[in-house]
Amino acid sequence: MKRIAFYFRLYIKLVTAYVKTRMQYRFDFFMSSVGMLIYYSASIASLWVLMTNMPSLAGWSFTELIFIYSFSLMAQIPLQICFEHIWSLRMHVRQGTFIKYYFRPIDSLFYYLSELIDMKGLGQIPFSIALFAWSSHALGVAWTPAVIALLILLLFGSAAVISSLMLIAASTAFWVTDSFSVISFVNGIRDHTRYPMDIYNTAFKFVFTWLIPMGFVAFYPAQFFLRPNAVDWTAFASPVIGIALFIVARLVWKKGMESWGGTGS
Amino acid sequence: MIVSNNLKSSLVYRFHVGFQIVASMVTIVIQYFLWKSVFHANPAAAIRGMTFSQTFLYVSLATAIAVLMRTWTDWDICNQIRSGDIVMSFFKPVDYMRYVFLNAVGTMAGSFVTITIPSLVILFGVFRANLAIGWNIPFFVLTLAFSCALSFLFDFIVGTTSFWTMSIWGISVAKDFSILFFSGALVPLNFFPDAFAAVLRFLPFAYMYNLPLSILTANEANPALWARGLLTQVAWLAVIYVIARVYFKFSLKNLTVNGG
Repeated sequence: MKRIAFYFRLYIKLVTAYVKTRMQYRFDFFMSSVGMLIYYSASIASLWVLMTNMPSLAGWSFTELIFIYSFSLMAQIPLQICFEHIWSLRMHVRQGTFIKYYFRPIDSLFYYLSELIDMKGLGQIPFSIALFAWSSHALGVAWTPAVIALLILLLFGSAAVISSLMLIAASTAFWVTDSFSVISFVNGIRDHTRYPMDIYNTAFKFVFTWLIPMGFVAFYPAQFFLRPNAVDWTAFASPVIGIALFIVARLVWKKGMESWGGTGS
Repeated sequence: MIVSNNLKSSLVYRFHVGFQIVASMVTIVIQYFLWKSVFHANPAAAIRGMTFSQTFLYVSLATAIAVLMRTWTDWDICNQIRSGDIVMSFFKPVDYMRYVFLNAVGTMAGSFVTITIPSLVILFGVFRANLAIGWNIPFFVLTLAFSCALSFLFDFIVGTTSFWTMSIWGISVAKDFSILFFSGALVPLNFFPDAFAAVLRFLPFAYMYNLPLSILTANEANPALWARGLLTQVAWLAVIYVIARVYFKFSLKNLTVNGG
């Protein structure tokens, strides 16, 4: 407990220092936030165009799809904001600058991630929450304290699932020189988490549940709020799968650090 | 020379290529099931004049074309401006826009060999996509070439903008997704509400994805209509080319590179 508190205070300090250095690039922050909003709007708009042609997609209405999409966006907030540095891992490994992370008295993964945060990701917080509030209001989801507690737990699980998958993808940089394709592949998966799993056949439902567990990022947990009477275990599994994946991701990171031998300089 | 250099450097990373193929396979699979359930919800054989196999071919090729067009030209220009290296390219005996263009063609040739061809093999070999062969093929190839040129010009304009902003992520992402949506790459223009589609057909974006892909997947050959589309596309290309040229020249006057 004391350790967690120590790391928490350290994180706040490091991040505050980083934010201060970024404040000189206000225009960049503004432009990036606008770009991000356009990206999400294009996703929503294409769902809308699609749904003008039919009443439902595999039994899910437009508003329900927005609910799933906003759930997915909320689950990706920690990944977007706190895991930004994983994109540079392959550069640090290739150029040898990664060596400094071996020589700190604190957890290397923690130190690596805390070095920078993604400022533009902050815009995702109000955007996704507003979208979620709108769709859940339109669908008449009843928010009791117990349901809200469950929402937070499930969001935490989904966030752990997608963050760990991205972390594992980024860690391939320790073994393969050009790992960009791996991380951009998993990054592309993030986009597809907005579709209901019901559109796939049995074989691919299995693939997207167990091999690339993207169903747990949004669709499975969101089911509980949309169809509480028709859910199975998958709706509640995301925290367990998230924690398991995070343990795997930490292991992969550790193994990667052990096997990477520096560039020799 | 510039073209073949870039082509060679993209062939070096075999792992990268292998993974790209897996990634495009997964994307094709997801699109297949997405549109399968769209057509399942709508029992009519065709929605807005498009059958499932036409739509599937359209959207999966749109994804392949999007990868082909991703030459990172805007990022390269921005990096050269930030580092000041752009000054060096002004001393070269090649016109800057031409130099950047040849680089982009090289990158495209690399992606064509490493990503587009494997995607086509998967699309026609595994998914047995249907394609009528006739006059649509030459028209498709020609309009697609001009689409790539249009995409290059938009990249060039966005890259030039970083003379002013020194930042690229936001505008580049905004450009990418505006083009994908307004050009009918994410959802074919046929599926848009009529009034919306009518407006979009007046914009240059419709000539980037919707024109070549609707020619390729057309029910019947209509060379007169296609030729008109092609001419409009060329007109847009000329207009945007002039804009890009003038804008670059104007921005250049504004350029300051940190000395050294």
